[in-house]
Amino acid sequence: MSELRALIPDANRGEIERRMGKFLVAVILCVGVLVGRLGYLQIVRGAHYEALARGNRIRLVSLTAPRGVLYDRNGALIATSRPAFAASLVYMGEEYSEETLAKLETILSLPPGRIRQLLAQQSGRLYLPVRLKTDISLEEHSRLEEHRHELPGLVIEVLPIREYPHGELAAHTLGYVGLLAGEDPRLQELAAAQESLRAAAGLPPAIYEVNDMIGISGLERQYDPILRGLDGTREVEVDSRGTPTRTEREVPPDPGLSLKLTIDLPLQQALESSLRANMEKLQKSKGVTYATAGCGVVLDVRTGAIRAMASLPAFDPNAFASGNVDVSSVEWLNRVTQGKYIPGSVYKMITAMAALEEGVIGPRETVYCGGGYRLGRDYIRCWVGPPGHGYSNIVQAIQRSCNTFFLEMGARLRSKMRAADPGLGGVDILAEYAAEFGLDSPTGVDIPGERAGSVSRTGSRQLLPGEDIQHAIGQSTHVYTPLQLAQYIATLAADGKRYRPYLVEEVRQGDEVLYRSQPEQVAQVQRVSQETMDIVKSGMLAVTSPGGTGYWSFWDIPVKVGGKTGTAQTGRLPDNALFAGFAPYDNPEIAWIIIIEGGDSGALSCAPVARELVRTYFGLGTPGSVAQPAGVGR
Amino acid sequence: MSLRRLLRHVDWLAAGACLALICAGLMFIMSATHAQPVGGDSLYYAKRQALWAVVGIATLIATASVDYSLILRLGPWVYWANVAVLVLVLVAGESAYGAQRWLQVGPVRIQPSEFAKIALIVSFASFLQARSEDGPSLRRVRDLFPGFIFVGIPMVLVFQQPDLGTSLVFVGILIGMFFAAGADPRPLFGAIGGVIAAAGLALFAHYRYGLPIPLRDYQVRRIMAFIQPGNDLRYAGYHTHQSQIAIGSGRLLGKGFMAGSQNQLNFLPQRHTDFIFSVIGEEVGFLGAVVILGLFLLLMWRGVIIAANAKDIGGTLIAAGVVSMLAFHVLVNVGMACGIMPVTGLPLPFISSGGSSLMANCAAVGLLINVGVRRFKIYF
Repeated sequence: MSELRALIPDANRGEIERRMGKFLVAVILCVGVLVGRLGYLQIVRGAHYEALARGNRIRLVSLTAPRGVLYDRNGALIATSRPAFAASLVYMGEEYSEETLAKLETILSLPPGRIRQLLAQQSGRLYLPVRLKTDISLEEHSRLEEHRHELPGLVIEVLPIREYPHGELAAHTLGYVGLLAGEDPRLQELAAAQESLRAAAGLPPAIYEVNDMIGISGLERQYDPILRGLDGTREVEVDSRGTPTRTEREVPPDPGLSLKLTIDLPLQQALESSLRANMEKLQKSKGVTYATAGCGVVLDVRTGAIRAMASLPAFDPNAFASGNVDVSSVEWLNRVTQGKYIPGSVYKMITAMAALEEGVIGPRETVYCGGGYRLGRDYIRCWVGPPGHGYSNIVQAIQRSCNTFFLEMGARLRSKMRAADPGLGGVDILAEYAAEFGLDSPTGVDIPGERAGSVSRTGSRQLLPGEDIQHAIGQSTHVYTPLQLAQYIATLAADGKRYRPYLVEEVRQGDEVLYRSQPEQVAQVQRVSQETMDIVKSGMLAVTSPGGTGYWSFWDIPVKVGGKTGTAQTGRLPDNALFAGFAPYDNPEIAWIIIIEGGDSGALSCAPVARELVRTYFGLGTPGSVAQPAGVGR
Repeated sequence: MSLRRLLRHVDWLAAGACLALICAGLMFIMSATHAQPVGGDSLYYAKRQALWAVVGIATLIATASVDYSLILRLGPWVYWANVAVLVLVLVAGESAYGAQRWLQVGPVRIQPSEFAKIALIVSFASFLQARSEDGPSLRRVRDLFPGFIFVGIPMVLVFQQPDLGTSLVFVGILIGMFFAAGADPRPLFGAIGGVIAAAGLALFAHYRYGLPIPLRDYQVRRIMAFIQPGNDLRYAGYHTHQSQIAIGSGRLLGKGFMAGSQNQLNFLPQRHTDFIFSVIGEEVGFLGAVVILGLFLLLMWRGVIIAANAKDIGGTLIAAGVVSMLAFHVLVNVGMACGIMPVTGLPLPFISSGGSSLMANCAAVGLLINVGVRRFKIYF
């Protein structure tokens, strides 16, 4: 340093050198402490640690946290956990013999080579037991115990697994859980995404590992970071057979948080059983091409809360809860949020509101129906056939679902638009109204994988001739999800207030409410006056009144119901059947849509399901059948 | 100065130590990861690190070339750019496993908090240099507060990611550079120790006696997640225990390169990143570990010499900041592997696998050499 000192002519030089000297002492001290510690570990205690490393017999046992419980809006149990046995293998410091593995595979009826595969998957974490099979049967359990002396390293763990006491009920809404498989990149991605959700919610990191159960679809997936809890761990010392002999320390598991759903269990049961019954009846009486699938959803008009949501055919999520079934490649369609349907006559309220607001028809003006409508070279029959509906005003046209009337509205809207701009068509004005009721956007429901239909506009693509007039009766090329359609009916029932549908009412920890959902109004209809909405709603009331297409399902119901039947031509027979509605008429609480694929007639197939919904919701006695005279309209 | 003259004044000992550490890192990363091939390539991590080493050495040369006086003049710009990037990470960063630490830049994912340390050293040096021109006035506690605020802003941003380890490095740099700038050690350590003690006491009282503190519940949980060490709550104690077994069982000479049983049997967690020193301890024993620590000491000793001989206070401060950073990293990382420091997730400079960290440390050594090369006041 001395030769350098001369080069620094600074007055502070001495001071800086003194300080740097102290600095160097501090650095040397740091390194010295580390060297001292290394000396202690490696030289003084080296033999001890070497012995420990040679017989490294400390293993971790994961203590699985039970998933959070799901309750319905009134506290009824919808999903919970039950204890189950799992067979696991503890790493014993040497290779397993083929014989041992073959024996285990036979007892647990695993495919040959499966255990090797599992061991390879977990090669990075051999200090954890490798879980071979979860939820083993009593017989498997006793056979394992019998052969225990031949199976070194085998341990039987007790852990909670998911249970859905109502089986298939609301299966698509709840979703299911499955094994987080090491080789599945999709699930790894999911785990990473959920990890950040958890961090955003201020929860400590949930650790996702091979062999963890994870929510794969529905609410189980959406709320997995909240539901899963935090696994605990037990550090044990094992003997030469892998049997734990001593617990070194234990961190207990932290159970997942519970969710109170917006679902109303009795209403959900009524929706599913009645949907199922009507579908079975149709299949029996008309053939297997009828009623191949169905779905329905009930919204609370005042908040957007989803009171019931069903998609059939369904599955039993209990089948996957043990993780022994490989589900990673399976995708089940939740028809309510992912199916897209032509709306059929259910769309006619949009056309009616557009026609009234655009002034192409007056509230009392009538249009004559002679049983059909001439559109260019085509003649579109009204569903009633000749001699037709005669004269109808707009309320009667909704009541009778008169196609002629609404095709005429489509034609008038087209003329009006073309007068303003020859490049536009009737669809463009219908699109503006439909979008106001949410038909052009996803609803934002809190369930993964929502799809959304959208309205057609002339600019978006080349329309077929007459297509924009066909739009007016809800046929042709536009499709929406049932949830969008239900939201549209609910928005109409709520006088234009559009709410985001949601499924979770509260997040709870035991009895303590950590979070409570607030209804979220996403939009307010601007283009449609209260007066217009009242006229259209009175048309829906007329549907369930004498002379209406839905009367026969509601004639003995004391609650005033607004409804609309629909039949959608999909190009494949039989047609899809729809029934939308809301109740009570004067102060609406619920709104719904029921769809049966290949249901043929909304009035005959879907309205009876709505009838059961109304009976259940308003407590109108035990479910009964309804008189269905032949010849009732669609 | 001519290039030839510059090259003659490069501190080759420092550069050599740095290069030797990078090579050691490559070797031990290979040993730690070859048993777990990624995409069928058992040298995946080693190759990736080698690529980063090339980038790192280029960075070192680049940071050594530009006159540090110029860099110091840009101090305020560096500072605010650093703060802006850290805010960007919080707003738009990639998050993974509970923390939001990364930014995606083209094909690579960088960890800006690594570079934030270098930016802090440069900008804080510029800040202290500007203040020292009015005469040294760091005798009283209240003289230190502007500096606390200066370092506190980026530190809180890093802490929010959350990255407790790196934010503590900021404290280390702060102490080292304040001391080099002439601060009286007593009020300096008093103030910092007081804050830490008060925070610890408040947290303890909160847990034990329910003392109300101005933190939300989740924030407390987050802090506790750090104090109950590691990101990996379940296995933290297990990790340190296994790491100690690995190091201890290495004894004097080690079990041989790529022959550590703790390492090769996968008992060691995160062994190519934060716990790489356990692989070193197990495979090359006490002697090998001391050689590695010796290389660090050599580098830091040269750093102190460079600091002492710098032509101006700015150069001294930069060099002192770099040495503080390295010392803090080595102490905490190796201490963690030996079980005398909490698990805070700090990498071992030059050796742990990770591109951002390697690049940042190379830049730090580049700065050191920069200050060393330009130590003469008189221009020839």
